[in-house]
Amino acid sequence: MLHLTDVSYRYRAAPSLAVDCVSLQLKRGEIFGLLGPNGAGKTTLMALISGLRKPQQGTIQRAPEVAARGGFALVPQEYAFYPMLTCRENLDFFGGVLGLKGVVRRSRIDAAIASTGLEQVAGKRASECSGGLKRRLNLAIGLVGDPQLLLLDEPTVGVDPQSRAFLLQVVQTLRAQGKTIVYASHYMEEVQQVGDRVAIIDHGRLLCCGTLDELLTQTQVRLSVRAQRVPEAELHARLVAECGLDTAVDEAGWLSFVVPKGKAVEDVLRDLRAQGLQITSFQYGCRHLEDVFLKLTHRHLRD
Amino acid sequence: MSVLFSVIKKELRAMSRDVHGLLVLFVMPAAFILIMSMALRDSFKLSVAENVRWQYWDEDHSESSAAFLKNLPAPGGRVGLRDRSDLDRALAADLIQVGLVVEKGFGKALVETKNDRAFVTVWAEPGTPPALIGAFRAEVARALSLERIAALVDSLEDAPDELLAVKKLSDDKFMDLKFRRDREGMGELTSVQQSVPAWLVFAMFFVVIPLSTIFIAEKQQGTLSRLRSLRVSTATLLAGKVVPFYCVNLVQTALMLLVGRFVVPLLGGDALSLDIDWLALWVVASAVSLAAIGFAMAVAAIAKTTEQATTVGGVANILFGALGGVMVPKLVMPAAMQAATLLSPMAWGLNGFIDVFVRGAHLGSLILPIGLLLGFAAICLIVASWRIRQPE
Repeated sequence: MLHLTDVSYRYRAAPSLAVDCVSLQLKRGEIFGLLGPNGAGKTTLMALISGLRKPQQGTIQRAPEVAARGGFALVPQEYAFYPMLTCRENLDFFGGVLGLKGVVRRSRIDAAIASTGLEQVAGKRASECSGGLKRRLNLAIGLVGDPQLLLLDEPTVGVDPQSRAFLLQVVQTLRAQGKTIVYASHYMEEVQQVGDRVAIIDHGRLLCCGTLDELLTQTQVRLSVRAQRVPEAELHARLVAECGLDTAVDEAGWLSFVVPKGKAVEDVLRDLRAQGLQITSFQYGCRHLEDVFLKLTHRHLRD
Repeated sequence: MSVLFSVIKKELRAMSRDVHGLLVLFVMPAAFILIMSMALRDSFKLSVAENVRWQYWDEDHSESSAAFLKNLPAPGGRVGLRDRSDLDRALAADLIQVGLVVEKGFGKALVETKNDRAFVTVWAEPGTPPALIGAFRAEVARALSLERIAALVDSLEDAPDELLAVKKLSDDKFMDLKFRRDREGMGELTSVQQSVPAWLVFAMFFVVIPLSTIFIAEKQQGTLSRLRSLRVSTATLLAGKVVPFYCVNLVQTALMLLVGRFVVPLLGGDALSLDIDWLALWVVASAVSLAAIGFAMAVAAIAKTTEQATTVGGVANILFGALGGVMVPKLVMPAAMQAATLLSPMAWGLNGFIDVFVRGAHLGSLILPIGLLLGFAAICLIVASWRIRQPE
C-alpha cells in the first residue's frame, strides 16, 4: 500500500536530519503505530507520506488507490478546520474540496458524523465545541473522503480519558472496515492498544519496527507496583542506590522496573517495603513498549 | 471549478460570521466620508469670500457706501452693527471673522485722486485663515473699484451713454470659468467628490486586516496544510480569497456611493454627482480591488503571525493613505509632494476614481492608473503564490 525507501529530510538551517534514512512498508488493513517522543520526526514523516513535503533523499511509492485523489487523508495534530463554521459546514467544505457532489457528498458527511458521534453537535459552531468534540471533528473531516489510508498525527492530544477511549474505539472500527491507518503518538499505551505493527522513531531514525509481540519479546519481564503514595524523587534515588532497581512511574501511577537477575520477586517486594513503600497492588510479568524504547534509546519516552 | 466554488462559499460564510471585521470595512469609510466631506466642504468652494462671517459699521450713511456694501458677497444677508464698539466685542467673541468699517466722508473721498487716510478698514480676527482674509480683501478692493469708477463717471458733466454704462460693471459677464471634462453636464466640484473616492480606496485596501487574519489562522491551525494535502492548488487557494474579497470591495464601492449621494446631503453637505461613466467606475474599482487584495495576500503569505500581518498591513495602509492623497487632498500639496504621491498604489486608485468622478473620464483615458494597479496586483500575487508554495 505504501513503501518508503531510505527517505530523508532536513529542514532549512537545521543541524540534523528530521527524518533520517527511514524505510518501511505498510500493509493493507493494518494499524501501523508510530511511537516516538515529541520532536522525534513523526509529524515530518507524516508530511512526507502525505506529499506536503518532498523527500530530499529516498523514494515513496504509493499504491494506486492511495495515490488517487481522496485516497488518503491526513488528520493533523492541530484542529485543522474553521472554528467559525459549524461542524457540518466544515465537513461540507472539505467534501466540496475533494470534489464530492450532491447525494454522495451528503451521505459521506452523514457517515462521517455518525462514525465520530457528532450527531448532537453537527449544527454547532466548531469553536463552541469541547476539546474532545474538536478532536472528533478533526477525525471526521479525514473520513469524509472515505480514504483507504488515514494518517492520524497525535489524534488524542489534549482530550479527556472518555474521549480518548472513544477515539481509539473509532480507530479500531475503521480498521475493521478495512482502512489502513498510520497512528502517530507519543502515548505508548495507545499505540500498544491499537497498533498491529509498531515502529519506534527517535531523532528522525526508525529504531525498530515489527508486531507488538516481536518487539515485546526483546524486553525483559517487569514488576509493576502501586503504592499508597506516589514515591518521591528521593525514594527513587534510594531504590537505585541500595536495591539496584531502575524505577519509573507511569501516568497511571504504577512504579515499574525490571527484576534484577538472580533475585526473587518476593525479595524485591520485601526491599520495597523496607524502603517505606506501602504497596497496595502489584503486577508481574507485564511487558511495555516503554521498555523497548528504553532499551533502544537509553531514555524514557517522556523524557 | 467545484473546488473553487467550495472555497469561495466557505470564505463568504466565514466572513459573514465575523460581524466586527465587516463593520470595520463598511462603517469606517462611511464615517470618514461624512466627516471629511463636511470638514473640507468650504475648501472646495470657488468663492471662498462667501464663507467669511462679517458685519459692518457704516458711519458715512451715503448712497455710495450703501452701494459699495451691496457689492460685497453676503449669502446670508448683510448685517450692520448697532454701535461701533460692538465691532470689537463681536471680533473678540469670535462671532464674526471680519468687521468692515466705512468711515465718514467715504462717498466724497471716492472721487479724490489722493487720500491721506483710509476710508474703509477691514478688521480681522487673528484666528481667521489668511486665505479667507485675502479673498475678502480682494472682494472689498473689487467693490471699491466699481464704486470709484461709478463716482468718477457721475462727477463728469455731460458724460456719454457709453461711459455711463460703466456704472453697471457689477452685472457684467465679461469673464466666465469653465472646466475641461470628458463628459458634459457634470456638476460643480465638491468635497464629497474627493472624500468618497479617497476613503473608498483606503477602505478597500483595509481588507488586508481580515484577509491576513483568516489566512494566517489557516496556516497556524494546519488548515492550509490539510488543504494542500488534499491537492488544492495554489491558484485555487488564491482565487478562493480574491473572489470573495473582490465582492466585498464592490459592495463597499456601492455603499460609499450611496453614502456620498444620500447621507452626506442630510448633514448639509453636497450630494455626490453620479453623472459618470459607470463602466469606467467599475473597471477602476476592480483594479483597485485587485491591487488591495494582492497586497493583502502578499502580506498574509509573508507574515508569520497575525500580529505581524496586522501591524505591517495597517501601518503600510496608513503610509499609503498619507502619501497618496487620501488624508490630505493632493491638490493642496506642494508640487514635490504631489509628485511623491505616485509612489503610493492608493494614489493610482484615487487618481483613477477622481478622473471618473471629477473629470468625467471614460475608460480610454484611464489606462495608466488601471495599468499601474493591475501591475502591482500581479506582482503581489506572484510573491504570495511563491511564498505559499514554500514549505514552512
